[in-house]
Amino acid sequence: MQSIFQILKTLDRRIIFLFIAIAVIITLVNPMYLNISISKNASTFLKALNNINEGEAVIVSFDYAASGEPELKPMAYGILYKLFQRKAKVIIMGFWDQGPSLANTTVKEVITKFEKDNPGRKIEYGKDYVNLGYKAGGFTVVINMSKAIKEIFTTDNNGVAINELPIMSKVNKLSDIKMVFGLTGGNNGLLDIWLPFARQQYNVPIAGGCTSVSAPQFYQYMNSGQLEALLDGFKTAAELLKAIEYTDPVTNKTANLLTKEVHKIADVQSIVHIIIMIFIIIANISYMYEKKYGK
Amino acid sequence: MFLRKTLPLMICFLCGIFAMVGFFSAEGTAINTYYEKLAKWNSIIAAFAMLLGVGNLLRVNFLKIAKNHHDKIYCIILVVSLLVTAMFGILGGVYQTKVDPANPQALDMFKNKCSYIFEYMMKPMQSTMFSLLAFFVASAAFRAFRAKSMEATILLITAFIVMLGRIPIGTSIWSGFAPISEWILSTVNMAGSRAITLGAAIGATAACLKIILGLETRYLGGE
Repeated sequence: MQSIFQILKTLDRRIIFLFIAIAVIITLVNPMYLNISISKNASTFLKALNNINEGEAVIVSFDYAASGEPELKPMAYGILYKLFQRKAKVIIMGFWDQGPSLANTTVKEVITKFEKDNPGRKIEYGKDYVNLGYKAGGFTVVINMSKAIKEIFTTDNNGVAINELPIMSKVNKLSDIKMVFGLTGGNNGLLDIWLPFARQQYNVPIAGGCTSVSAPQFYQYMNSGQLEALLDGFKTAAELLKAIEYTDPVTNKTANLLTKEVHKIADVQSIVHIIIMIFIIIANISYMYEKKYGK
Repeated sequence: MFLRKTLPLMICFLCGIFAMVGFFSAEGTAINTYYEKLAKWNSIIAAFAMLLGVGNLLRVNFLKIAKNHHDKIYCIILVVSLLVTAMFGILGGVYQTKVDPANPQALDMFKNKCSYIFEYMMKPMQSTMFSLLAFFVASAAFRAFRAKSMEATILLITAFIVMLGRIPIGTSIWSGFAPISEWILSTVNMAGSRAITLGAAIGATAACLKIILGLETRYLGGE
């Protein structure tokens, strides 16, 4: 028994890495499609999206890089799809240089799916959505947007003059925005730009999404009412996708956005968490044995 | 002395006071107008700060290469990557504003190369780096997460409940994990998180006041 605990005590970390890798591969090959139940956070977020009416302008701020994409892209996907369903005017921008480029890929995927699901509806660039691109300056951009958005963003991400885009005809300043959806991968985004300035100073409602690891710092803003809704990591993103329903044009049945790919990732997340917990339990049993019986 | 210390301190004092008072003043007032002007200047300075950052990065890495530092290979990779990416990005931007309709390939060539670097190099590398976290977290948790004291045991149990509440399998095991996890995060965690945030904010206010009033001058480069 002692030798087992001795081996566990000095376990090579590569063995742990191997266990994680095998678990990820097996789960991806043989997914379990575990049940995903819709939590309070996801349903509150859906409610916030449902409050957006036809023709109302919203900002979706892509404040993340490729590292945050696995958790934040499903959120962006769900938000954009629902906003197109609500016939909102979607203004995309970003305080992270990579954000608007990542947005382009996501929005293309959403449009392909949306137009397939809704024959007859066409999502047009410049009319239904626009990508204003990245802007340096953080909170000062928001302060300036409160006066004149078109002074700060003179062109869109493709260099087209913003005044030529029909979507911007009725959007002049921040108060013309119904809600800001901030997807944040760390600093320079929801927590330090949109919440203290757009919400607190200019009273624009904010909803957001963040990675699981940064979620605890956002709960205080939910509780105080400063944040309308929060998607706190991949699990709630998957829940939101499940909650967004549409009528399948082929089967004429109600379907949801939760794809098998997203479901697989949720399974992998579950299994990796369980393995980490098993390793922690083993390490603690080993520690307690050593403490009780000495070396 | 005036240019090196007094003038920067005066600029800092004036900008700091305007920003602080402007934040709390009503829209349309003179001070609020200057506050918004100041915000515009800040955006321009932020763009220039990027140039300063690039310049500094190049200086530090060129120095290392010149001194034959043992990490010089990484410095070379960094400098080459920076220059190549910047070249395609800048030239793509220039062609975008001066696009010749008769020769759209010129625009595509630079724009596509920049997108290529981003899509097929930067994105996979960043994703890989972040993915490695799962492996390192598992290893670190195995080695360090021990119930050595009452506090550590409470932390361990709480962590288990939160972890199980935030994954689908946790809800499949017991439906109670999710609401308990949510309660821990929105009540217990929130109290601690709010205390830290308020404390840090008060500390930051004090530090900012010291800088604005010229009591803290280390940012000027002195002791």
